[in-house]
Amino acid sequence: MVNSLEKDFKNAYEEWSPKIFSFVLYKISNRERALDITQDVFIKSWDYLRKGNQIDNFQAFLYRTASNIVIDEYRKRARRKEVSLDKMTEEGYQIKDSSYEDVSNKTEVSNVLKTIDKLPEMYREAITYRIVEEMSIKEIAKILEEKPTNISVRVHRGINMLKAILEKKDEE
Amino acid sequence: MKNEKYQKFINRIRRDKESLQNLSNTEKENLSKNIFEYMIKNPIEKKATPIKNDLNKKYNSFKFSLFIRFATPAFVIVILFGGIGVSAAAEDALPGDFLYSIKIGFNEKVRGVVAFSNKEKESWKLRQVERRFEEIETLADKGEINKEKKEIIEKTLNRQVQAISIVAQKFEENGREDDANNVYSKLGEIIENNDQYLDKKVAMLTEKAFPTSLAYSEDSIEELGTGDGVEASTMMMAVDVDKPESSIEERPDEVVETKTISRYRDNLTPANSEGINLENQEKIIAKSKIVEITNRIKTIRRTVNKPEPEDIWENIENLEKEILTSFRLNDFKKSLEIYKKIDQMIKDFVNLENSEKTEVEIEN
Repeated sequence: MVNSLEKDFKNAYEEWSPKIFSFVLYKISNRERALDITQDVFIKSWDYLRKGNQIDNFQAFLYRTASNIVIDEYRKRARRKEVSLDKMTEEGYQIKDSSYEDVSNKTEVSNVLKTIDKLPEMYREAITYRIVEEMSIKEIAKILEEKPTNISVRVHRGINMLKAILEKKDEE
Repeated sequence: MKNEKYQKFINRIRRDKESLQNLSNTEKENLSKNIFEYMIKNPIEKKATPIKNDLNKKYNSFKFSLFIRFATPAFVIVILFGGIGVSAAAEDALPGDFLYSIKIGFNEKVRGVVAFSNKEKESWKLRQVERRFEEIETLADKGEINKEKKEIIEKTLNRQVQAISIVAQKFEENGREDDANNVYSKLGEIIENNDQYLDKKVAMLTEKAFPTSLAYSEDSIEELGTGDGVEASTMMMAVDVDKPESSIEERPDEVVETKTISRYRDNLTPANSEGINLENQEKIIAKSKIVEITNRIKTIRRTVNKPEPEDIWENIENLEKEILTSFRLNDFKKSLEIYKKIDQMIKDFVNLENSEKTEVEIEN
């Protein structure tokens, strides 16, 4: 039983690690941090399993874990940014705001991806999974623990918003 | 034009992802090393159980396909047709598949029968409608919708929505307005959700599937009187809400002819001898639409502090009063006409709201 769990986990790691890495890298735009976070995702999953917990859908579990860690990462960055921006403001610097700004020099994420970032959070998530990760509605529903019908609505509306943003961007 | 830009955008993301984001072999090796070392240092605790899930679905399916290939055909037939196996396999069946009739005629009926309470039965009936929409979605995704499959879904969806409408109607008859509203509201939500994402082709199918139940069109009420009503077996599937929940006998729905069903039969009009009478149908449709629209209005009131533009919002509120009045006066056709007006106004209102939000997002 024990060996079987280890074997299953390793197989899952082989299958999902590139996808989780790619998902995290897209979100945080920093390759080294993406590697660390991917490692964290699998370590946390292993800890969860080895303590006797069950996972019904491993793919969904990995993406949820990755997403939570990424959110923590955003918060940390925001705090760091707040502190440094406060300092800069005190010293009279102009503030420019973009979630990718602080890593733009290191990042491989193309500018077009910033466009998705302009969507409201609820739609951004669904759109990221659908367009960037190319997941099916059912897979997204499992990850976000929502009904497939709700996800379909979000994807549909998100795409429309995205089209509007692209249109607007070109006009500018 | 919009689609062209969007397609370019998607292509660019795909290109970026392919060229920039792959995990290199060295990176993967290092990652594996760290994770596997951690696994050795932190082994499984005794109480750990194997992963229950689809972790190895892929590998299991592979093994299963090998097994199928090499097992003798006779043995495979025994396994494949061995009751539970068939039933389980039928769960993923789609209209047009060999096992679809088992999914609808056996699996879903059994689940309806084993639902213990009225609440569970009601939820299951709503879930069945959702399942039909999911089938439409899957077929649409695969580009496999054809006339024959459309007809199968139409027929099943129609029957199932009818069954839910009957449940709600019986709640109403028994003075359980809140329960009835709850059913209407959930059903409205399912349809609303699905209406929004279905493409034109599928939306037409949905529209066609609902004339005898919920979706209203000018022609649908006319069609109701032509005998295209609910089947007797469907009426028997309805939950008997006359009785308190605890006293309901849990027997297969098909063989139970309740007092309520007899009453429905007594109510049948000669022109529509196999269906519910026309007035009831209109009332169900109007009621469901009113519940749906008032819920949408409530949601806007809850979420938007000061709905603007004020004149549009004022019109919506006036029409809300009118629709309720027409319903009280049993003028269901008028209710449905007003519904269409409010629906359009809310859509415009929400679109305006969304585009403003998007603009704000863009500006930010």
